[in-house]
Amino acid sequence: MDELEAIKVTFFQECEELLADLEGGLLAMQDGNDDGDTVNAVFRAVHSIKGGAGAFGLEPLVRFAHVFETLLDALRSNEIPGTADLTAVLLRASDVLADHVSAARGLGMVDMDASAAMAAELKAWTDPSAAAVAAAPVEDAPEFEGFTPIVISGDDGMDDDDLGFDFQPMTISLDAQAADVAVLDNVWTVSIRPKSDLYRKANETGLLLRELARLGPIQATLDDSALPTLEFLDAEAAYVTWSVRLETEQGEEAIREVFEFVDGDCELEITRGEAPVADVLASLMEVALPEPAAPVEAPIAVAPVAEVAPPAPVAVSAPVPATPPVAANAPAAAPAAKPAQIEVPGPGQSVIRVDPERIDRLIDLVGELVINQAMLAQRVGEYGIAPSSNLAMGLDELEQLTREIQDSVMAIRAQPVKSVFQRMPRLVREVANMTGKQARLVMDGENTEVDKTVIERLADPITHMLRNAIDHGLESPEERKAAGKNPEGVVRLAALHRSGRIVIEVQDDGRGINRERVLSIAVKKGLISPDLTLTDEEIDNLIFLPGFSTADKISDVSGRGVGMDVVKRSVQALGGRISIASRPGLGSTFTLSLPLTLAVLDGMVVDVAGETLVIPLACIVESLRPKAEEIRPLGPTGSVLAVRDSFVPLIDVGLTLNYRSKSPPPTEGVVLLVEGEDGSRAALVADAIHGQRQVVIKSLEQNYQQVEGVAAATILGDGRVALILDVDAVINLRRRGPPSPSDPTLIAAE
Amino acid sequence: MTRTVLTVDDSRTMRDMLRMALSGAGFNVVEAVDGEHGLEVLSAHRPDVIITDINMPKLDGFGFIEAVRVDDDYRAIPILVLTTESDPSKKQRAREAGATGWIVKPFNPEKLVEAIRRVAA
Amino acid sequence: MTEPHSNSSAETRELISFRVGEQEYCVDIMAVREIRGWSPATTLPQSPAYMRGVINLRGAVLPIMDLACRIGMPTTEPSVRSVFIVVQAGDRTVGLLVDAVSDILSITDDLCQPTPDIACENVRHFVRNIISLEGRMISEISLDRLLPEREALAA
Repeated sequence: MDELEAIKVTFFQECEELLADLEGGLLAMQDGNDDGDTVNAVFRAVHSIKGGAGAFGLEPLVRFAHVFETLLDALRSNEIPGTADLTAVLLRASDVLADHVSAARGLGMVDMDASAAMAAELKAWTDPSAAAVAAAPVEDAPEFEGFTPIVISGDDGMDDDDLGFDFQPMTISLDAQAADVAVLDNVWTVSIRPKSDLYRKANETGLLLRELARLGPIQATLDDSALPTLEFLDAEAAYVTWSVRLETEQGEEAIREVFEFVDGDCELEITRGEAPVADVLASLMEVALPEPAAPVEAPIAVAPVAEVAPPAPVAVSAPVPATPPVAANAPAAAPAAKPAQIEVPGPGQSVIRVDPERIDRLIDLVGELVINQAMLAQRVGEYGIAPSSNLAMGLDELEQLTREIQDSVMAIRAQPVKSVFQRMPRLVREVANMTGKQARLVMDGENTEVDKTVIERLADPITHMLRNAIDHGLESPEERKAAGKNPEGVVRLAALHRSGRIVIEVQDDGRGINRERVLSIAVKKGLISPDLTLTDEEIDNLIFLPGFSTADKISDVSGRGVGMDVVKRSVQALGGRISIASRPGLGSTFTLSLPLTLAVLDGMVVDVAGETLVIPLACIVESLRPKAEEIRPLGPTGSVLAVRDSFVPLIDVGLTLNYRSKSPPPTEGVVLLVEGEDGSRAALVADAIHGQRQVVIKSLEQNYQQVEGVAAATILGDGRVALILDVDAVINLRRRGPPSPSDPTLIAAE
Repeated sequence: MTRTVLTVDDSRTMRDMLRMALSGAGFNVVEAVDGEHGLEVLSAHRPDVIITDINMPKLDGFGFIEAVRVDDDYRAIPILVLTTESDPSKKQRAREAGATGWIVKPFNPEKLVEAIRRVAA
Repeated sequence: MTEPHSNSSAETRELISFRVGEQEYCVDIMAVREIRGWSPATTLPQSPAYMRGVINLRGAVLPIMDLACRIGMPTTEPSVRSVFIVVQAGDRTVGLLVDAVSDILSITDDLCQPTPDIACENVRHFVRNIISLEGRMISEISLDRLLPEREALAA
């Protein structure tokens, strides 16, 4: 069933939001910001998860949510006090709940023992006796005391007019055979004396009779003997009693069920057999109620009564004019048929939900527009049209507009980093638990927006950086105390925009990098030469070198075979950079910057062997024209470029990509000094530089496959495809050539 | 004669479930995300029946029902509340506020339509 | 250009035939997206000889394959008459560089013969069957085999 599956998808999306609300609320409570709204919102989150889970029969989730909800309910009604301890338990419970949601979704398993333990812990908080009080039904309100008469404003005169007659008792025969009065087992007498509350709650005796008629033929008699004279009539009160003779094969239970909703709002007597009703049959009016039909089409039984029995302005549920007859009883002069699907926007906001594919398509189209605009500009340029001419100026405006459209469209797809950030508090709790650290996560800039192509790629590096910060950065509570610090360490996760990129910072107030130790490890592992003099910053950045891991043993937390070098590589693959700044004893800050989108890229357009290539700007350190004396041959075929104090391998891009078999002298070309993912540098030789340009990234894989040395493709102003260079692959391709002696300067130096 | 049902629930899942069940049974469905919104939608659409959740932000189900019941234009509209596990105290409070009947979550479409039939003229 | 397949003429298929060197080949017209005149392609490095590069097809990057070279014949020298036949092969769109388009054929299955068992493995691999029509021999290309399997490069 497609629709149900679609709702299930919605449910899990909603669960994500609710879990985030839950955690956010609990964290606010932890920080002491717990007004009544917060605890209510927290309760509602769990309640809604339970409700939806129930609809899909997700039993384990429902059961856990129920226990959780019960405790929150007690908390919000102040039956138990909110304490820091309780909030900590609730936070852990929210993690278990999240696990249940994931498991229900088919992602991962729930540790059922842990879940049961958690449930028991939650239950223990609600003192059994207190729980009993909570569960006790609210005392029944006295039947009439709780009822506030509702004044029908401005209607008084009309009431008098309309009610200027005596009520007549009436019988509605609901079946032609009702006259057949054989006393049988299947004959019941149902006596109904409605209280005013019944009408106040918009229940209708007429509808009750209709429901009874579904069980079998009925004959209903109205006793109005209790009806006062008009001057004493309370329009809101109820005075009449119905007596119904019902023939049904169904038992008393089925009859009682009809009155489920009016339980307590009417006096009900159900007896087997005939009732002595003959005396009230004196003056009556007969109306044949139609057979109950399908609910939707059901002609409304009540309206015809009014027609057949003028001048009664009241319907079958006679004595209470409180019910505006038209609104409630008339067959809903339904407003012109509307389509069943009406999306009602939330109050004060109008949100449009759009299929993401449509936005992706739009972004593609705008990409085309940008390319076309560039092509047009290039053609116009070729005609030698003066920049001051109307045509050139119009084209400038078009370019401006195109850029703005592109930015606006990208903004549609932009999402706040919140969706990634909100997973982190749990991670911090778990890592802190596992490592015996005390850590508090502070988050900033959660609403910073970034393209969805990037957002999906942020989670991994942030996770690693946070793990690292807690596992390696923070000291144990004892060490911190000894150092005169708060035993609880603070880890700050922040997002911000800086010069057209998104910057993520992970800062801890831990011990900082132990440079001596880092240096010795790097030497021991042969990553650097022992006699090298490095700045503090350079030493700090050694941790990004492949094969470097400061943990003596691979801990469960930071380990998993993943070091900061992997983080750096994955970040650089996205055109990003990562660096670290550290102050001994005060902590470290990791700074990660990424482009705002992976749909466009800033690149340097170059010529290589007659081909046009784009080199991602993020990789380029600088460009220069090499002088002959800076180029030194090394080994049989290789050569290096002297850049200040270091020697960087020269790589002819054309040769490496097999565009040509022989390199022209590097002095005739241009050198782009690039930095690879592992921090290694290389000097790429191109024939000419055309300049910097933002290009729209096009996939090669869509219609073909990955090509080594090529990251992607783009379309340039002349309409031709240009390839975007994969700088790391080019460096690696080169390395695979004749092995060159490893360069001791191949270290990270940001 | 298509009857209009207003569903008031802060959970998108629940609104979608109700919509599926009700549209399938031929009802016209309008939706609101909380009690406050419910009152706004009420005046715009004049539903024949209202189905409301209890726990909602801004204005909860109790408040919403009370607000409907004090308005002369709407007081006669049947209101069904959504409750879980027939929680007796919540059900009772909803009835005191003026709820016509209730639907126990999780509901199946037949039960839902039956409950509407029982209260809707 | 032509009516799409209708189920009433179940047995009739339409094919576009073209010349590769002195031989005639064809593909099912349902797979053909368009036919374009030759324009220079951007060379792909590290690629087999039959991959002539990529061109811009209304914003998409379209790989161009030299069909002759792919089935083991000498590389095509593009001329003014050369065309790309843009075909759908699985989930990919690819341009086939051929010497010239001949015509559109309406054939029934009884005109198809299995590919003769000749030594050339390329032929057996890429030719689905042989069509005999008015004394001509036209080989139908098996499109799904033309493009190599996508290979993910080790990161």
